[in-house]
Amino acid sequence: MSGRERAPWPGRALLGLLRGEGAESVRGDLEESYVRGVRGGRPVSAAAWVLDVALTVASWWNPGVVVRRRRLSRAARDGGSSRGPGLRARGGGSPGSAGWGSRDRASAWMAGSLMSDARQSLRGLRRRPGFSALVIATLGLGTGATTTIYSVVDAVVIRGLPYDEPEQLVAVGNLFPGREWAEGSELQAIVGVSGPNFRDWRERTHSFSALEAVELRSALFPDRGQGPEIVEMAAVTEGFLDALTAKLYVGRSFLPEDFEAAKPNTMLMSYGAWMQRTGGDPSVMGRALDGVGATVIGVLSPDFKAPEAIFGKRSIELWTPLDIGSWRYANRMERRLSVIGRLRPGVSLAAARQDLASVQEGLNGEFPYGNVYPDGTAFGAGLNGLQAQTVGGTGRTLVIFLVSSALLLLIAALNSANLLLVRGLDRQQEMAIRTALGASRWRVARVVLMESVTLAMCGGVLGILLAWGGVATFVRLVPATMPRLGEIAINGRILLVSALGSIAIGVAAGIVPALHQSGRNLALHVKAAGASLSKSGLRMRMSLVAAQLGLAVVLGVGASLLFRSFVNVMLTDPGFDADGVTTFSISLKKPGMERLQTWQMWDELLAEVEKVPGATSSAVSNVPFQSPDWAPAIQLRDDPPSVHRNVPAGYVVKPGYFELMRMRIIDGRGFDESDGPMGRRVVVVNRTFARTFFGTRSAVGERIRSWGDDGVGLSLGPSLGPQLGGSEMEIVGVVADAVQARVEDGPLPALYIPYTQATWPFVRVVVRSDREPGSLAEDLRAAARRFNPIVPMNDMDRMQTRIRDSRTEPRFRAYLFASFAAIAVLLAAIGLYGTLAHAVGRRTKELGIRMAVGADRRRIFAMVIGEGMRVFGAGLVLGIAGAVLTTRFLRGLLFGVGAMDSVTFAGTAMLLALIALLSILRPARRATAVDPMRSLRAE
Amino acid sequence: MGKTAPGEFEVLVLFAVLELERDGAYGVPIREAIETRTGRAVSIGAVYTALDRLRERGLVSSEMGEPTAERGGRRKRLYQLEREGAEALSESVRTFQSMTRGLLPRLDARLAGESGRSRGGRR
Repeated sequence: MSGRERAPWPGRALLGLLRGEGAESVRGDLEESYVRGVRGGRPVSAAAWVLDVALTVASWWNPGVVVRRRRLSRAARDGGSSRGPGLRARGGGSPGSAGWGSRDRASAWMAGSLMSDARQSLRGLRRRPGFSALVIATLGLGTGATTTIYSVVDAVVIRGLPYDEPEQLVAVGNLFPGREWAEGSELQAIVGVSGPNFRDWRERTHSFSALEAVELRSALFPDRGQGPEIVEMAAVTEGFLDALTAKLYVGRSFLPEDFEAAKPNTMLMSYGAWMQRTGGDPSVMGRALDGVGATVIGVLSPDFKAPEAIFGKRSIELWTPLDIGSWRYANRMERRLSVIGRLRPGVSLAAARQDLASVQEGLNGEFPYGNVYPDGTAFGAGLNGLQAQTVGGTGRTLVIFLVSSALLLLIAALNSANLLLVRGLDRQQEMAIRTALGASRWRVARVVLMESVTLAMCGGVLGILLAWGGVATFVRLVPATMPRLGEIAINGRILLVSALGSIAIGVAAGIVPALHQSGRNLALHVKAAGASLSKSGLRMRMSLVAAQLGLAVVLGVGASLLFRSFVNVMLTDPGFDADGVTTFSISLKKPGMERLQTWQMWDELLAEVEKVPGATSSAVSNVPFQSPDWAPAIQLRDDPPSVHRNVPAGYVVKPGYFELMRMRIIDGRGFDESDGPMGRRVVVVNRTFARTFFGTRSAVGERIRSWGDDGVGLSLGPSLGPQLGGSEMEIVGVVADAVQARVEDGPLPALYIPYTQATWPFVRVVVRSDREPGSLAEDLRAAARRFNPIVPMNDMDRMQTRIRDSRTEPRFRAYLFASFAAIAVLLAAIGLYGTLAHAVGRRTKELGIRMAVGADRRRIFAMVIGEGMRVFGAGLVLGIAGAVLTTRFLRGLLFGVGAMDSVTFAGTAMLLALIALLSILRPARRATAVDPMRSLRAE
Repeated sequence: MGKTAPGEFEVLVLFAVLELERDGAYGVPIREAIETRTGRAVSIGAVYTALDRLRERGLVSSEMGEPTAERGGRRKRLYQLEREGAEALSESVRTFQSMTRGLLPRLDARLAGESGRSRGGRR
């Protein structure tokens, strides 16, 4: 046997502190015991044992103690038995002895291991159920909140995407000139890619082992006996599914010949669609399904998830080959494709970005058409990790949630430390006796620590139970737009982190009381025997309370800011009257319409809808609370050719739309039947447009041009802009601002053009009616069927629902923060109340004397209130400072209120001051109720 | 302060030294011997404390032994039972024996009867 095993180094280092005569043999014995433990197959407990002994030794490391020990050991050496019994009772021993106690009873008592300490602390806790329950509840709340949020963060931000080697996957795209980076993030603002650019990237870049494209389409699918339904379909290049390591459940995957244009169409189904639409019928394999015109060749594995970075929350039911050589992908101006890539092993994100950017630069020189604007600004190309792209800005919000829940946990820990200190006061005598019997400082601290760790672990168990419910609640309440929502769950890793966290919290919460109680001021404790509260103890408790209050202020300010943002969102006038408005969209593609202008199709459609009784209707390209599909670029009359101005939203409307939506015309007129295809080109702008581009001047009568009439400018935006014919338009009216995608975006410029003067192949019907929604929906569906019997309408909903949904997110944030803040304030208030009540209780004698010598009750009352408010004041100052430093991280989540809003700060401070006052009122009243005679007699 | 009879734990330590002194009685085996024979967990610190006290009272003596590898090259402190120690031990045992003589059966009977009479009444 080689003596290779050594005790863990911290243990050895601590044992190195041992000096003097017996040190060598003791250290040898400890090493030997450790080695035997290891050879006996119990390395962990052996290591724990050595550390425990070593900590005991280290806790003597206190100059006074050492001197005394030296003296004692010298006396022992010189005179042997000449030592007095009194000295021995103080628990000396020579430096070699570990000083565990000097009587046999004490030895037996102290001889116990950590386990016996644990058992003892459990017994102690059971004897004080109220105290234990309070600490456990406090820590449980903190752990529960943190575990809940951590589970979400883990699922959404930390855990890799469900593909093999997900870190290699990237989302790739072009970048608009001047809009290369997404606001306030590390992400490049990638947009769609044209077919030719994609093909050139594939040929010229070197960083990717795969570069694949996808286009989102929709298809009609015969649902079981229900007639056709519109389903989401993705057309993908040949390596797309392989790049995502998609597995098949049944059938075959695409073969190279499936991608040839001349071949009959094939498709794969998602497992969900296969089960739901065909009931898992294997006979659909190899069959061409009616309405789709493609043969099913296989079903994807149920585990496969379509990447949310590309498809969002859509459920992609069908996958079909994308023929990259077709005419559809021949134009560099048409950025139809979304692109994903897989980085070659060892290629960094930065390197891939550089590679791609330089390839794009080359393309811009070679093929300026579609890549370079007339003013010389050119498209870039960029990429993001697929995971980062999926999470987007949500990651930031989640981190803010996580930090807030951690603050809550911190408050809970401080509160527990405070409670443990109080409990410690009641045990001073016990600890003093232990110390007197020779228990080392570590030994005493260990008892306290063990207790707080035990409590924290119970709190952790409670917290995990709460988190179970919390996660379910979170998932239910969180806006459905949250990425990776379906993946949120509590797993083993979270439980482990939570358990380890609980232990750490236990140690953290116990450390202050442990150090405090193991202080060696024996005489004081023994004599005082718990009758009075030490000054330093009270000060420490007040500091803990102040820290809690400070953190509560930070959370309170954050919650108030988010709440005000939410209220502002609620109160913002959407700019139209949503009451009784229903909208739906429908495909204009149907036989017999190919030769019609789009406005003629709109008219045909509305002719059917208008037959629905009790309803007025109109049509528009996009309704409010929907991202505008068209973001036009324009020029004012005097702009030089190279200058252009981006307008975030352009709408194509049928005359009557403003009236139906009850949008107010502020200046000039709306559209009417005179604005026909042959008429003068006209445009209506919104109020913000007029203010932005014309200031206080009236916009009516001004002329604007759509920019980039050579073609490029038209496609500014996610999809094709309307064909405007390139002429000048006259502003004939100004309409009030209406919400575009979200209220939080604030008022943005918008322009409206009449449907007869634009080609726009999509439509959204708006209907206002005070009829009962159910029967109205039936009638609308029937009208839509009369118009297009092949393709059903989709996406029918009520405007009120859209408004409600748009508020989910700010409401969720506000409520989450508010609940954190409420718990925080409650805990801090309990802390303040408890500390003062305890302090008053302990000072009954002092107060009695004061009263006996004539202090009047009001003075005493004021004194206690003053004491409490001083603690609150300290907390408030800390909290306001903390809030000033931290609220700017909330900036992206605020609406209509600044991160440093003084009203919010002051209001929160006042509210908390009131709560603080309420929580110290009772202790103060109790102080004045002290009966001088009784309290003195109690002595 | 003359002679103090060794306490219960000290008696255990003295017996352990007696058992081990031929092969070398030092901290580790002494603790192990007590743990094996009594089945109680014993802290090594308690053993040192007891040995120290016994040495101060002259009941045991000690000398430094040879180092070994598994001790990290450190020497052992080996204990021997002194004549006084042997006498004290013997006296303790005798005292104990004379007190127990004839009483053990009665004690056993009491325990048996009690457990039958009131289970759980007293722990």
